[in-house]
Amino acid sequence: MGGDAALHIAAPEAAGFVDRRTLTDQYERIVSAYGPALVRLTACYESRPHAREDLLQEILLAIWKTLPGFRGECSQKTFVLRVAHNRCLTHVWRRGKSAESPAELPEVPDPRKSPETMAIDNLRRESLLAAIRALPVNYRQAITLALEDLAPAEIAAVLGVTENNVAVRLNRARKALRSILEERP
Amino acid sequence: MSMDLELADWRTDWLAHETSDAAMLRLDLRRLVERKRREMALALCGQLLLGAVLLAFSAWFAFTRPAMEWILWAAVMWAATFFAAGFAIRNTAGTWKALQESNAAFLDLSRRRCLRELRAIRLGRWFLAVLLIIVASWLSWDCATHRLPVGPYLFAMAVTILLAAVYLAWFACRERRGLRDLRRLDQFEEEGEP
Repeated sequence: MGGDAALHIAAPEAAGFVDRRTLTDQYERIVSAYGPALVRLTACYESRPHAREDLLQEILLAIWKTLPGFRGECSQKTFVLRVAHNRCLTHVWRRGKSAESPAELPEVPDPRKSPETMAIDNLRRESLLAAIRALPVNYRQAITLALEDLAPAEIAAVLGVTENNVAVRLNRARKALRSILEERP
Repeated sequence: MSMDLELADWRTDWLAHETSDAAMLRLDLRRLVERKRREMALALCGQLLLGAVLLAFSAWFAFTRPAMEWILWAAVMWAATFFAAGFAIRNTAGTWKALQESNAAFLDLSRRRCLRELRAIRLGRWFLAVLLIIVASWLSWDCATHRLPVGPYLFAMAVTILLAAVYLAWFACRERRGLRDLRRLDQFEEEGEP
């Protein structure tokens, strides 16, 4: 994250009561532990690389701003994922489009015509991400948390619903995702 | 394919690493935070400046014309300005804190914030109507008692009506945005119903 110099910034409002060094260390540990998961999450909400980067910046900023107020009411993982998913939800609601329609999904290049360096697993990953972006937001949230290997109880804690509700959403999400992936060549 | 194998298969694709992923994490947080801070400070300065100009003008007017009607007028301006400022502060308070709530609680908070804003807009319209009646009556009375010539009276009425129209348009725009946000929030809740 660019070392200590990049993080010697004006700290959030409550930082007067929280050691700035501790806050910075805590933030760096969060980015190190959950950064890749956050990057994957942004890919479920934005297909365009620059918009993905903007969304990631918004999420990281939100984590930085809310960290001083975190008092351990839930696990750190739940806290980070809650902030990230809520920020993504705001992004969707402001943009006004909750899902990309399957018709808008980017064409997956024909592997016979793509450059030799394009790995098959990248194509499969892009197909999966595009299909996830076509899901309604509530299914998207459930399936992305499941793909991050969260237990149903953890997913319920992030979403603020019962485990039963999580199971139903996951079932529906998987059915919808399977259907979208089967439609594509 | 069994359900667990299917999920495991998707998980493999999901966790596949892209070279651009690590680069996305190497962002300069300092620059981002400073940019956000500047944007928020500029917006706040703009609002404070407008408020200060209104307060200063009404105070100066009442001071240079120490008659009861101008003092009352200044009092109305000050009350309206503080009301608007209080609403703006209350509406934005806790914006960041809300993000760490669970998704369901965040949706609920966002919904309540929308409803609160819509209620404030309705209240604002009534308040504007009352102000318009007071100002129009005041000016008309001054014109009728020959304290205000017809020319300045018409000009003052035109300015009053224009300002009221601008405020109404602004209220209408905020109301449309509020209703749009409420519809989208309802849509998220409906999608999540098992």
